[in-house]
Amino acid sequence: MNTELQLKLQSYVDGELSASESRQIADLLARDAEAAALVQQLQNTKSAFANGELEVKLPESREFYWSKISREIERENRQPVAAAEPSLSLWQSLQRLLIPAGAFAALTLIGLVGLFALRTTNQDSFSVHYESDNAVADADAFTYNDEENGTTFIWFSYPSENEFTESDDSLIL
Amino acid sequence: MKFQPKSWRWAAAVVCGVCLFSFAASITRAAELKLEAVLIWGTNDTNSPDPNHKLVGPKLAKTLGDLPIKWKSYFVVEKKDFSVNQGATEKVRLSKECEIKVKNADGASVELQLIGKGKPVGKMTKDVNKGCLVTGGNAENFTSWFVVLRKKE
Repeated sequence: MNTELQLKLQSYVDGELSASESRQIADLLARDAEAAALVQQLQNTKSAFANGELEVKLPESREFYWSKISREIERENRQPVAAAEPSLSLWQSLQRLLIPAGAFAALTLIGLVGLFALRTTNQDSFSVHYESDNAVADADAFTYNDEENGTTFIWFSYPSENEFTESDDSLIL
Repeated sequence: MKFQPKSWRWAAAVVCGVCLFSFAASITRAAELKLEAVLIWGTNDTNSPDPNHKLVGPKLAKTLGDLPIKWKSYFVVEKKDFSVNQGATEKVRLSKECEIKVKNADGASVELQLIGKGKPVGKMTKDVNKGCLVTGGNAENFTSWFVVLRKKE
């Protein structure tokens, strides 16, 4: 017997089937002993529940009973929410404050670092702020930027020859 | 899945920790610059009279070869590796007559001061993360000197 048939038999016992379905089930019960046994079992269980259920009688009237429940709900709603929370230690209170503050600070730092990096990237990478403290060099120096390689080249006509080189015969530089 | 406030706090604490650690690490890394200064002699001769001179490497040869002033050969006269902390200045002697002062301005930009025969020749700044800084001038017998300052790789 499959589950669908079992559910149908349950519906039959509970009187939830249409007239035609009830007739089909009745025919089935006449020729299927297993189905008939299940229906019998279900009917017994149903009658046991129905007969065994205790009747509960309220000590007061129905209206008074529900009004008590309503008043209790209203009373709980009026209580402040904070009172329901357990008291926190000083460390727990600090944690509550510091953790979000730390997260905020970290995000701010990341943002600042990002902005700084962006600003640095946007700067002209090949710009050279050439300044000389030598008047002669000022007049005779030129700057060349190789944008492909990022190389900056500054050529000094001064010192004209041997400011960096040695004049010994054995040495060139 | 039920939302657990405590787990959220722990996750936030971990994220904060990681962020602060990364930030501190980036600051530490940016503070010190490892640099290389090279004094080079440029000539049209294929050989140097000084047997200690060696030709520059291919990368430096290409850098120098791309400059508007060209020579057939570039010989390394002196090469010095050094580090400069942020805000500090390092003095590096490259030859008897050539000295440089390098200041780490902000962890990326350096201020290079050339000193020839004890006299300041020029001062320039450059972000060494973007490329190298090459300075040069005339030398004896129609040759040239170059000082290359670049970030040590």
